[in-house]
Amino acid sequence: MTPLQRMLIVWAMATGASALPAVAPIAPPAVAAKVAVARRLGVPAAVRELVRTSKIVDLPRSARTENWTVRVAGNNREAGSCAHAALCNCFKMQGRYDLAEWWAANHGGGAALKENTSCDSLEAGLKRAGLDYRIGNDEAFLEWTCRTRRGCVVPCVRGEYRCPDCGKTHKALHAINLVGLNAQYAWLIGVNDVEQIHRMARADFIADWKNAGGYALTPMVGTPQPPKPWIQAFPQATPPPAKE
Amino acid sequence: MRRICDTFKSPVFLYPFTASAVLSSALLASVLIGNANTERMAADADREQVQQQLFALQYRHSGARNQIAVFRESIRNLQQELAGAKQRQAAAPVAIESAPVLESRHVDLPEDGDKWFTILFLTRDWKNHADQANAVKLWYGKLPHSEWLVELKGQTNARVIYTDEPQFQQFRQKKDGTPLVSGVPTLLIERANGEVVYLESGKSLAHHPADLRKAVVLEMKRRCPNGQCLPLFPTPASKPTDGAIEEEKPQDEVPAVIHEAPPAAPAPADQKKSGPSPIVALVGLAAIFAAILVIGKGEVFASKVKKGLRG
Repeated sequence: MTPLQRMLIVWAMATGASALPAVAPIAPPAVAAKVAVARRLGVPAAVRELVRTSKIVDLPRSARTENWTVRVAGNNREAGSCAHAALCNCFKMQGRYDLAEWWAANHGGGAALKENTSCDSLEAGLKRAGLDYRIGNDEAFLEWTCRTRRGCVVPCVRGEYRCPDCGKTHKALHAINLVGLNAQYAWLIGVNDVEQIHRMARADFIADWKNAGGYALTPMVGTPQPPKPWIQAFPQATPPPAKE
Repeated sequence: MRRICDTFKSPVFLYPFTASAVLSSALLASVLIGNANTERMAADADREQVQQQLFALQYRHSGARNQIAVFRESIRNLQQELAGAKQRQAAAPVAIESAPVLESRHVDLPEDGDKWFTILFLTRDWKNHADQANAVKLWYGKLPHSEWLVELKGQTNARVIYTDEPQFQQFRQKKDGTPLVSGVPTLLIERANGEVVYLESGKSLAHHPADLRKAVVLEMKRRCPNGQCLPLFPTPASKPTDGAIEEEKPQDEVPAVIHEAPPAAPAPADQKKSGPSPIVALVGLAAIFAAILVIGKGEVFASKVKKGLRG
């Protein structure tokens, strides 16, 4: 055999080896993986999107509570009620529209959030009303509230302000609703802008949340909001031929 | 005899005897003293052990006493809290009255994210409509053979949605040109991912609760064949009957839509992109081997020609 023949045979064997997977039977795990991928691709994109977003508590636009302002007693200024509005959204997510109306009518003002503490006034109000609630200060709690479609009230930092009483500079805190959380993103309803659900990178949200105190509150007053419904169409079974 | 005595009195015999007697007595004395010491040490050890046990008992007793004190303190705090709550309730009767009172407070976080939803759609004036009032009776298990729905509600997130609530809008959205909830009363069962498992509406919803149960069971089996369904099966009835829903099955993390969707048929364009078919590969290999043979023969012919020229 000449060197040229030898070289050509080696090249042919290499080419054959590369083409082997197309000819030879594939190992069972590889088959299973391919079938799984094919099935996954077989799911319509609309359904995939529905399943993906099924853990986002999509409170209808008309149900979202907007922030309102109240005049603080003994002080010539108006204060927002972001924490109360966010809590009302939580009530509505759990189907308690009546409770949300009652809360909005009986609560207000911006003293709900204190820097680096828990949401004291919200807690006090919930306790006074005899309502059950949960408070957490870690990401697992946030994930639980979203996983169970309850949503929660979370603080975030919105700049700084100089306190006229003590003269010190404090973080200006604001309350919003966390309605979805996955590995990449967080979905939020801002009570000052209720038109749409805002999406934010998870890392950014967590950093901001921790900077604002890192606590979350969710009431336990009703049934979690059901997800958007969709129907999986099944092929109609053909009836068996009638016996003669 | 006297000689014998003299023999014993002689220094040769007397000294070793005396020495051995002294040594043996000393040995005996040391053994006796050693035993006494050992007994004393054992007694000391026993005493020490008893003291330790006594100390441990005292410690436990004091710990228990501390615990009792803590419990008493917490009971006192709870009593104070209760008294404060009663005072607050007396001070603000309106606020307390209008707020619902929960039965209990739990410390745990319920993991109900995978629970199904059982929803009944009604209008606000359901009392004025006989069909809706019947549906409400069915909802609360007040009709014959309707206990299964109460059980199902217990195992799922049960909710009544009125048609004037904003929440209702998402159930009215058309899917494939068909309204999802077209009228009231409507019973809808959906999975945690939103897949509708059962939907029935109309005036006859509450007429035959037993038949309704059978229909629900059949539809559940169709939607979740062989247990390939997330989450666990809700069991609407405890009594096993024909076509009863199976008991709880191991949780399957794969979404049902993936299980249920048929495998995607590869498009022709994709097939071309995916690589040469086996026949093309075989033909190519055959052509390569033919080329090798031809080249080999050509080289042999050339060498023969060279030899011939030399010759």
